[in-house]
Amino acid sequence: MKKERYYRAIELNNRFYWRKMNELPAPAAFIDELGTSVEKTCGRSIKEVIDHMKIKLHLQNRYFEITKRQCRKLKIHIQPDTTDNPFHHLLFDKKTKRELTNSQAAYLADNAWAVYDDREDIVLPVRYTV
Amino acid sequence: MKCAEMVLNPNQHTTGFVMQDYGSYNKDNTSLVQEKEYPEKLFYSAGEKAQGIFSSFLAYTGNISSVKGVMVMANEKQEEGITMTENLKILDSILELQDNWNQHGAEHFSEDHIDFIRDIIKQLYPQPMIFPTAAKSIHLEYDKNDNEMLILDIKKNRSILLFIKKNKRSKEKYVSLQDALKAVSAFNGQ
Repeated sequence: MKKERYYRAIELNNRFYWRKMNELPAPAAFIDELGTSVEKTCGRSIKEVIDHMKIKLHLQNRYFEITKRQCRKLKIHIQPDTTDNPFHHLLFDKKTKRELTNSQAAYLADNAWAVYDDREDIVLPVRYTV
Repeated sequence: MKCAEMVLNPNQHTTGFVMQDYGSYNKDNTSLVQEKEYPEKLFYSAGEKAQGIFSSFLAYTGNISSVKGVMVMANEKQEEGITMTENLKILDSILELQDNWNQHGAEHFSEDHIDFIRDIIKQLYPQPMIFPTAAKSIHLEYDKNDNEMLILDIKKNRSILLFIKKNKRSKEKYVSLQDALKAVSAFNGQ
């Protein structure tokens, strides 16, 4: 079975999220006091995950992949959301603290891999090195 | 009122002194450049490097009866990177954000919070990138060489969390504004 991965959508063309517009996200884009919102593969293909995310996301986004191994390395706690979306998860600093640290966010900003871009409507080449 | 302003050129080779009644003096050649008048205004100094220049500046302003202080201004003609004017506009945009601006319940930013960051921005050279977070804080960020990063994570209560990453090592701690400015200067090799 393919390893589970998590996907974070970051809005395109919004300077509040990008160090280098539409290419390199800012650590701030991974910080949320409610927990960083991601969607888990749950055995689905990237395309299936993205198509499902698009149902709720109305703006154009670039989608970044976060691996379970990265989360383990950063000691990020992955919390299933309690809403009616079984794929939706939240990344916490730890079980008792929802907001990721700057260190965790900076690592994800530098290392999360872009897998899909709404402008191009294609699955981007994926790097499975981490 | 007689007052004075110091302008710090971004290439930091030349510092111009501008004084009401006394005209403008260039630090390098101490020649009179122009006359300029300023309304009564509380100026303030910024950054450790500026403090050193400020001492020289005072030598020039000995005859001025009421020097309120000094404002160090980053020149808007930066060859690379963002200007202070652009950053002030970005802060205006952040202030306009409404609740749920990130589509995930993030709160808007207060005028007091943005005012505090405006004051900091006016003391920084080079200018940082500015990012709002969905945790009621604002990041002032510098990147260098793809593997070095400094973030001033400025919270709603005006506390400053300094984050520095170099290669794969990082550290973060709460600091005073003065220490934050020192860290920015050191990071940028000043």
